[in-house]
Amino acid sequence: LPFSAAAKRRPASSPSESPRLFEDTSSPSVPAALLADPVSSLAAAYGSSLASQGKEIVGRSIDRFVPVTRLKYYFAVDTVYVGKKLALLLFPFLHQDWQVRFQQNSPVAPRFDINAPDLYIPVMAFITYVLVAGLALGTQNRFSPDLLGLQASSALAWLIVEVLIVLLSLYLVTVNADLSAVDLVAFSGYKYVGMIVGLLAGLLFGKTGYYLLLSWCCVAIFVFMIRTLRLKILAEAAAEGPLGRSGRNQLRMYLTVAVAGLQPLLMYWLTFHLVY
Amino acid sequence: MAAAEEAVSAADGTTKPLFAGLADVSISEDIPVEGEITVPVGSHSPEEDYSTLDEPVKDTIMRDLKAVGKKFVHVMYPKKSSALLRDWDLWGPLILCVLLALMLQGRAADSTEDRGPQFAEVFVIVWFGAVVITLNSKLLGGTISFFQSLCVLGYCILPLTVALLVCRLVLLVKANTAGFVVRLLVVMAMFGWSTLASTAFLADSQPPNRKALVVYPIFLFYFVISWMILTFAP
Repeated sequence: LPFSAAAKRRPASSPSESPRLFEDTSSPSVPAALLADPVSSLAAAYGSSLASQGKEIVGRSIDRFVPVTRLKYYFAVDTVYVGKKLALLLFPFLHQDWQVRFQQNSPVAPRFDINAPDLYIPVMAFITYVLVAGLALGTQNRFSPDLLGLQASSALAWLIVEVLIVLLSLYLVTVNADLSAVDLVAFSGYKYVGMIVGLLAGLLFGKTGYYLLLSWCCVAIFVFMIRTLRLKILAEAAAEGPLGRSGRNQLRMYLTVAVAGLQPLLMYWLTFHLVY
Repeated sequence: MAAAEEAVSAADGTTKPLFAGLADVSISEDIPVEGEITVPVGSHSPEEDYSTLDEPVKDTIMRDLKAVGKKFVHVMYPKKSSALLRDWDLWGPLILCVLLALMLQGRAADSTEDRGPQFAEVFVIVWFGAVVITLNSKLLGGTISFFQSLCVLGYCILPLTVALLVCRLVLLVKANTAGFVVRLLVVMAMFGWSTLASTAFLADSQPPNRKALVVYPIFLFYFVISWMILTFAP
């Protein structure tokens, strides 16, 4: 029965296809002549077409909130990139070229350019931060599992507030930077790496270790953000040359410094109550 | 039969529907019209075995239990078999999760000091962690499907459940530093076993330059569960 077999195995090559998150790619083949009765096979075909319609609707509604194909760009990383980027986040002083390479009007995947933002490091750093916070609380006998959820949700809330504030100020200053909201989430998530280093130092070496390493990471993330955002926000000013000192450019410079300065503040705010 | 012959013979003129006069047919009383109508059933074709509604419940349960048990064996001796991946099921992870949550019930739930996880907290940590790992692996470009990955991660909690049983036994016998060292060693060994077992299944679906990226969240996940087991105190 070709009709039922075709309805069961709809080819997923059309560009308007729902994101393939929930597809079952386990069994390679389905037994063909499953039901000999024509009415049952019609019912099976109708059922499978209903199921695929439902999956499309779910996929479309997910796609409206979270652009899954766009997200895949931020996860196109590999181990070498992650290693180099972590080193860059902790020591950005010697890096010279901060421009993201482009390829036919779209930025290159993070795997090929260390300057491109990614979402793997922020997500993993966020989760590791929540776990290390739980560990820190546990060594002070202040731990209970619901505190893990509390830490996670408060850190997430601060992240969302920070991204919204930066988006709002970018809108008010009317900067036409190619900074999407997901880029901002990625940049804001990079400070968690410094926070984890500071917390681990606090666990191993006490308060002095915590303050030393945290200040180092604060300076590092400040320099990193300034150099990355300068290329995006001040792109037009850079094109005009070093003498382009209009009021708008000054405003943009202040904005860049403010966004970069917000990071060390938040790093301290979210960690100091965990270290004794 | 007479009506049918009538319709057939009137083919030259008006079109009369076949069997039009069947309503008028009556059967006399003395012709026995009784018997059995049986449809000849051929040999059992394999398609008809897919209907499992008619078998006794014991067969269904035993089949599922055997499948779960076979997967447990695959987890304890992780060879390169694809049985865990091909027919995934979530019964095993559910049983293990419930066992873990039940056995981790320590002090009274409403004491404000250092208490263990509530039943629901264990569930949330295990399933939310498994979902995050699966999403991460899919976004990194893995070829494994959503439920297959959940199945593998859930089944690989088995060594840690065994470690929890051993820890409870040790705590029953003695609760001093030697007992703590034994518990630490057992939990660390089972943690390594769980991580190795799940990476043997999950890391194969990634190209070699991304294997470490997929292993790291799995390492974190089993680390959290091991931490909960190690800090368990009745």
